[in-house]
Amino acid sequence: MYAIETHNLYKTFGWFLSKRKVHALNNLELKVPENVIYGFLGPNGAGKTTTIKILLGLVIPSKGHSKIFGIDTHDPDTRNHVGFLPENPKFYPYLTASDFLDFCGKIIHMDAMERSKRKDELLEKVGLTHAANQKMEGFSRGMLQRMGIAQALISDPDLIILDEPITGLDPMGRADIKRILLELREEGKTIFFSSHILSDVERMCDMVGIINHGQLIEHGSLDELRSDIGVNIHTTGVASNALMEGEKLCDYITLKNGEAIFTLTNKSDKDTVMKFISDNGGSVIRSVKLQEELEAFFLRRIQNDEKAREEEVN
Amino acid sequence: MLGDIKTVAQGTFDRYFKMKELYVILILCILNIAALSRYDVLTLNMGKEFMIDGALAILTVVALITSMAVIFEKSRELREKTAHFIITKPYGRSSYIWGKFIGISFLAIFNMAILTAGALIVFKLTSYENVMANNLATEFIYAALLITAEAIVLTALGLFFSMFLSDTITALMVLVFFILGHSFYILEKMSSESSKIFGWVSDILPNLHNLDLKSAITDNITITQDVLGYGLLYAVLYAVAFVAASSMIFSRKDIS
Ligand SMILES: Nc1ncnc2c1ncn2[C@@H]1O[C@H](COP(=O)(O)OP(=O)(O)OP(=O)(O)O)[C@@H](O)[C@H]1O
Ligand SMILES: [Mg+2]
Repeated sequence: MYAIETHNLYKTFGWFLSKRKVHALNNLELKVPENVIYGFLGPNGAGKTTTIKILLGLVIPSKGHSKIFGIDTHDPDTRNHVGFLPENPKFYPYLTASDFLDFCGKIIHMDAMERSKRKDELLEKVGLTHAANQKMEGFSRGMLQRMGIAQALISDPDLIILDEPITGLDPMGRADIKRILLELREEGKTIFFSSHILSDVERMCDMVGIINHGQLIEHGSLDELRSDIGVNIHTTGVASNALMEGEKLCDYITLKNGEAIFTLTNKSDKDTVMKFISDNGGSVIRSVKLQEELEAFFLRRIQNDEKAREEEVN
Repeated sequence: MLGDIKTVAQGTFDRYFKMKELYVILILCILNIAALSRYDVLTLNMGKEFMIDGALAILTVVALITSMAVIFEKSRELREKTAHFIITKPYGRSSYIWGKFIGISFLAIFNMAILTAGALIVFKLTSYENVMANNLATEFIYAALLITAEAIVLTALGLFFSMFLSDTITALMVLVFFILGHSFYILEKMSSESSKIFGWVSDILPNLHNLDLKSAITDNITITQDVLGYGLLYAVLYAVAFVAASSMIFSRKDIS
């Protein structure tokens, strides 16, 4: 079973007869397995927020299905297993953090004892215990975002959907959120979030999906998706007077902690380099694959997709 | 669902209840009523009538403003995504609309109660002894109840319009219907035995004349409990119908 599954999903905004229709989703096929952190990436206006809103029943799809844990999202009870953090949330500025969580608890029918216990747990989890009795109007963006995660977790959901949880946060704030999300995955939860900050996605996601013009153009684990751009061969014992010669065979050589690291791009001939190393009395400690950065991959895929679309039109 | 409605209503009411500005406004209104006592000469000894009339007018304006709060509050909560926690819950959208309506209705009742009490105290203090005679206090309370009912009708109407229109336009529409609503009874007069249609139209539009007894009490026409009862019943049925319609529309709407 998938935590999230959409099939043949379409959403068109605009009045029935209006000429200015926006096709926000175009046959979106999405499959998110359970217990992963899934990064949902795409340029502005690609349809990320629209997808998330459909999953939460905030927007009604024009066509197609979406399921959460195998149940169609038409069924409002699916939302009992989902926590949601909207894009740029403000929350009630005149409430304190603690009162707000209490309010959320009431909405999901927790009794007073449960609420007060859960409140303390959540504030602790997101590191806001010190601000429990502070009004949220004084909260920084990072604090608000952490409050948003706390409210999403109140019902102890199995799936947590977050729209741009790290956008607009400073590096510390991003690290905080990342830590919380990783902890949640350890607890067996599924996390689905949209983002633009690719370097962060890279470090925390198990899987990514890339959406462009309302279509999923790529998905899979990061290792599968990114292409290899080369390899780093760590060696010891290569005669130092040979290194100049060796540099001609590869991209460059770095010396670090007594190791000579040969960096090879795909163009270099690995066998020649290996032979060179052994000929010069060196031995290989390990070799590390170099992969393209997610950002490079993202740009490449989006550009290819745009090109393909243009060709289709012509 | 009833529990959720209560939670939303209470949250809405509490927010205003804790606002200092609200009390400043209410106190200013009561002072304003007191100030009307200075017009006895200017109104050629009609000071008493003027004061009662003025007090009721002030109540009506506060009722109108209170009922408009729901429009701006709802749209702000959706824009700032404060409402999303509730509306993503099962049946949350209906709970949200009913909760907002009930919360603001209670606010209207609260405001009217304070202003009525304030006005009655002012009447007493400005020593128009006869104010308290002739059942005037009772009738004033009746009139205030009907103005409260008017606020509730306008709140429901505002919620309904806000399903299709922007905030500003909705507020303007409420204002227009508030002004016209007091005149729609003319349509009722036009309805005859053969065509009751005008009567129905005026009741849907809404017919605020049913709730309008300001002139009656200043002219010393006794308000019977029947009139009061009919007015309140009309208001409640009207509001329930429009809030139910709003809640149904809101449940099927895309939230952007
Ligand atoms: N209520 C709406 N009415 C009309 N068009 C809409 C509405 N909501 C979204 N759109 C359009 O649908 C498309 C997808 O929007 P969406 O908000 O899903 O994008 P996104 O991927 O979340 O973008 P961003 O990264 O900017 O948040 C956009 O072209 C947007 O203009
Ligand atoms: Mg978005």
